[in-house]
Parts: sequence; C-alpha cells; structure tokens
Amino acid sequence: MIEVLATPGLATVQDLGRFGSLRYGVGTAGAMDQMALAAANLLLGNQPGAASVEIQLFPFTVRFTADGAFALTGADCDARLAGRSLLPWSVHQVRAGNELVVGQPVHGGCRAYLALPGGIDVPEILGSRSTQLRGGFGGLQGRILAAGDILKVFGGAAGGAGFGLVPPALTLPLQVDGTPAVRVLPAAEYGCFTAGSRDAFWAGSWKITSQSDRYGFRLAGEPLAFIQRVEMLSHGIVPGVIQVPPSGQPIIQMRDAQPSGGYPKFGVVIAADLWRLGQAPVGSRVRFIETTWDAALKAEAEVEAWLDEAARLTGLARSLGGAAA
Amino acid sequence: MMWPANPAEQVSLLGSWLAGTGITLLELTTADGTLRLTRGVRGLAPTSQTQAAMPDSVDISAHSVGVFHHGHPLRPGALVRPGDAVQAGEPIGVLRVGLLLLTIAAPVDGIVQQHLTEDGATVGYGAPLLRLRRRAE
Repeated sequence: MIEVLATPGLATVQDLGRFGSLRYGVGTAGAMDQMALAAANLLLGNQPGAASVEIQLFPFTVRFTADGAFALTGADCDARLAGRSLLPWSVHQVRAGNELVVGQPVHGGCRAYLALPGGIDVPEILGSRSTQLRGGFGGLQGRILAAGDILKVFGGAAGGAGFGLVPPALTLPLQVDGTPAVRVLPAAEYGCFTAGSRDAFWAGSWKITSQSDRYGFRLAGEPLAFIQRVEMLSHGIVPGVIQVPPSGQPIIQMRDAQPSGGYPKFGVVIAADLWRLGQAPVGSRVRFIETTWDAALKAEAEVEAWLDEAARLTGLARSLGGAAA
Repeated sequence: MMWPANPAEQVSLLGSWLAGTGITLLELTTADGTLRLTRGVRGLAPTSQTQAAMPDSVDISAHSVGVFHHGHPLRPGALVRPGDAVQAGEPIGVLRVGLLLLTIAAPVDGIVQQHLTEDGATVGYGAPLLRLRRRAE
C-alpha cells in the first residue's frame, strides 16, 4: 500500500518485539517507543502490536498506492501529506498517489511511527514481524528500508480521521529538575560499586553520547567506580539492563541488544519506562530515579491503563465518525 | 417524565431524547455494562456543524463536548490566528475529551476572523468556536 520514495536510512519494520527466543540467541528487537507504536495502531483500530514503520532519520518520504488511512505518532515531526501540514499523534485519510513527507522532529522526541490499516504484511518469524538486523531476518527481508521498497498491508476496516491522542509524555510525565527521567531497579552487581558512585549515579544527569542507537545507549557522566575489580562470565541480559564496562561509563541495553553480556550490571531501567528512552535524542540528558519492584509493577499498570483508555476512546471516536459518515 | 423500570423502555426513551438533538453518539457505562447508541446523520460532523453568522462568514461549532484548545498540546501557540488564510479541511483547533483530541477543521476556505471561545474552555455540543470570513470566489 506504500512505496518508499526517499529515506536517509535506519527506518525498519517493527512490532512490539520477539519474545521467547533469547535462549536461541535471538534478541527482542521491536519498537524503541512501544507506546507510540501501540498508539498509532489503536488510532487505526489495529491490534496494538501490528507491524509499523519506525523512522529514525528524516525526511522519510512515501507514496500511497491506494486510498486508505494512516496514523503517525512518536516524535512530533514536520510531517506533510500532499504538501499539507499534519497534526501529530493523529489518524489521517489518504488518497492513492498522495505523498507523505515525515520531516525533522520539531518539538521533541527522535523516532516517529507510521502505522497502516491492519499492519504491514511481512512474514511472522519466531512470533514477530520486527526486523532483526543482526540476524538479517524479520521485517522486510531482514533489513533497513530503502527507496523503491513496497510495503503491503493486511488492510481492514480502519475508518475515521480527524482525531488523535494526547501523547503519554504529556499525561504520564517523568522529569527530575526539568530533565527527562526513567526509573531504575538496582541490579545484581549494584553492591560492587562505591557508595559515592552509587550516590553520584542517582544525583547526576547523564549525557546520551553519539555512540547510542537501537543496540544500546552509551552514557557519559561521573564515572562509576568499582570497589574492586569484577570479572564475570557472559550471562543473559535484556533491554533496559545498565552495564558498566571498566571505563565506568554505563551502557543501557536497548531493543536490538544481544541477549548476553559479561559486564557487571548496575541496574535495569524498568520496562514501563523504556519508551521514554526510545524518544531521548543523542546529545540529550537523562536522569535516573531509584525505584522498587512494587513501584515498577505499578508503573506497568499505569502504562496498561493508558493503553486501555486509548483503545476505548479511539473506538468511540471511530464510531462517532462512522455514525456521521 | 417517569423513568421506566423496563430496560428496553429506558433505551427507547434515551433514543427519543437523542432524536431531538444533533448528538450522534451516546455512551452510558454502569456497573452492569455499557450501552452505546449511535445515530446516522448527513455529512461529517465537523463540517455539518456550521452556520452562517453573516452572509460572508461561517461560524465553526463544536461537534462534541470537550475542552477547546486553540493549539495542539505538543506545540506552542495557536494553530491559526485572526487574519490567517485557511483551506477547507485545515485544522483550526482541537477538542480534548480525556486522552482523545478531536480535530476541528475549517469547513470552507476562508480568513480567520476571531476565536469565539477562549483557549482551554470547556464547551458543550454546538458551542461556536471560531468565525471564518469566506474567501472571495
């Protein structure tokens, strides 16, 4: 249903991720901002985990080959459909031949999500349609999208237009002293760091360096000091784990992380906050808030409640539009 | 008017009340479940809710209850200001209902004359929101 006309690179097909295959050495992949991906799908009446396009570099230009609809969420980009400026986090009707240009993010965020009716029709591999770049499978032929690619959709009764959602960054905000923040559970080797380092980790603001991508974020700040040298065998890790290499500058594992590693683990960003990191641009700063298991579960429940409410209200908006059409 | 005890009669009564309005959807949630009544009308609601305030101007009205915002919550400032030229279909504001943002679109090409409701005001169905002067043909 769409043809990619121009892309600077790094755009891939993603869903909510590939779970249950870590034992085979297959990482989860999936959208960096899971809330934005789910919201884009809900706006269209899709299942929240339908495969969509994750756009990381701009401008990204597509042409629609059939009449239909699309939803665009995530970073608030300078997006234009047939030359006309679009409101963010909304569903839009489209005509065959229309061109959509997703331009630079203008008001925060760094990744945009383009959802299409029924989701993108690519094969499900190990239970997911996400692109697994390391393995070269999933998504469209296991690779980054290129100009000339055609993406088919499953289609469906996606109706409605003229409505959107208030982004969760506004309704579930989390900041410390004006800096975006995420909650972290101390991990197994937390006790291997000096008390001063542990305090500095929570008190400091950390820069997301240019060596940050879908695999992981390398941070820069006050180096974390080990009480004594720690040597470990490789062991299982998941997205969100904060590892500390000998340099003392932490690395947060992100969605394309490999499923094992040997660096000591300082903490783990709770699953309910990973979407916030997914919108943190290179060069920006992030703060960490120490949390507990119970608080992490409560945060997860808040995310679920947001998605349930978004599903209910978008359903209502579609039936409003359907009744009026 | 007596509220009937029979649920079927209750639905019928709600339907008769709806018939006298321009409301296209009523959703009622109680401990027992959710009732949703929808009604077909002509044209898309946002564009049908307009009226000629003066021969050459058009007032755009709310097609739902909600909180009227002149701009989008992610963006600074109003989407349009007096004197701006707008094309039919262009967003001129949003109505917020919880997490939902209903786009208010210009029904015709025109020039924005004035906002008729303040930014952030809660409005009822049919409340006038913005006046457009029709663009000379």
